[in-house]
Amino acid sequence: MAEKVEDLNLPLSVITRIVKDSLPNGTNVSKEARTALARAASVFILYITSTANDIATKSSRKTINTNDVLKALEETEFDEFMEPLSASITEFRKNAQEKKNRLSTGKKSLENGDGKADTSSKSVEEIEDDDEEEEENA
Amino acid sequence: MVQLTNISDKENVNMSGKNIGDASSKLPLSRVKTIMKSSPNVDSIGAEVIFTVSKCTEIFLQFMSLGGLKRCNSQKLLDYKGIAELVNTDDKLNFLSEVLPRKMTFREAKKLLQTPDDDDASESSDEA
Repeated sequence: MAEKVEDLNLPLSVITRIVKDSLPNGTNVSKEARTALARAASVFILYITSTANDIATKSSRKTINTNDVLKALEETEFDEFMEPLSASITEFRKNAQEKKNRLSTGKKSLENGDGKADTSSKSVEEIEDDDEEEEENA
Repeated sequence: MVQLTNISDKENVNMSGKNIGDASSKLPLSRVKTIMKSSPNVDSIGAEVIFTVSKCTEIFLQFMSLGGLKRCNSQKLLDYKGIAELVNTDDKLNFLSEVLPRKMTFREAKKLLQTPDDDDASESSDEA
């Protein structure tokens, strides 16, 4: 999957947008700070993934589920992230459910659909091939 | 700016001014997945887990930016120094200390190398 080292980098433009959105208006971010934050984000993903994977392995499961990730946050002392995160997960599940309903009821639900839900479910589709059981587990 | 998009987004905007609580990922999920899979012994990952980690990383970036800016000399510019300072003062960011070390001048590094009793410091200045 990851053939080149660049494959493990996150796009700088996206990182910059997230960083600028978090800072007060008019704050500048040096180029070096941007690349540093991008690198930190990649390492953070690996750190959380491997911690969550250890938690899953301990409960003799092969695949990581959402709860493992939340536990990993606790273990790594990032529990302060859990509150905003759980709101996103709730939203994500709601969207996934809506999408399921839409697929089963066909055209009827098209009118409830909005652009936002569509884009997010599209990206979900791309990666959903692995396993869908995770959602029930969590 | 998100406020006008749709009704289902409303509560998220209330939760945090930076629309952190929404269901769309700003980071590319396929890339997040690639990074996750590069971790040893991780084979298949569910879509929800990828989304969760991606969102988590967004919050992490927010945390790093705000914390880094606090440690900058100027509150108008987030620079590397502020981020390195944050990494090396917050214990839970220890995992980043080798990735984002404090910078030092050559003079400082040389001085550290010349004090043989401080093993840790001379080692890290070697790497830097």
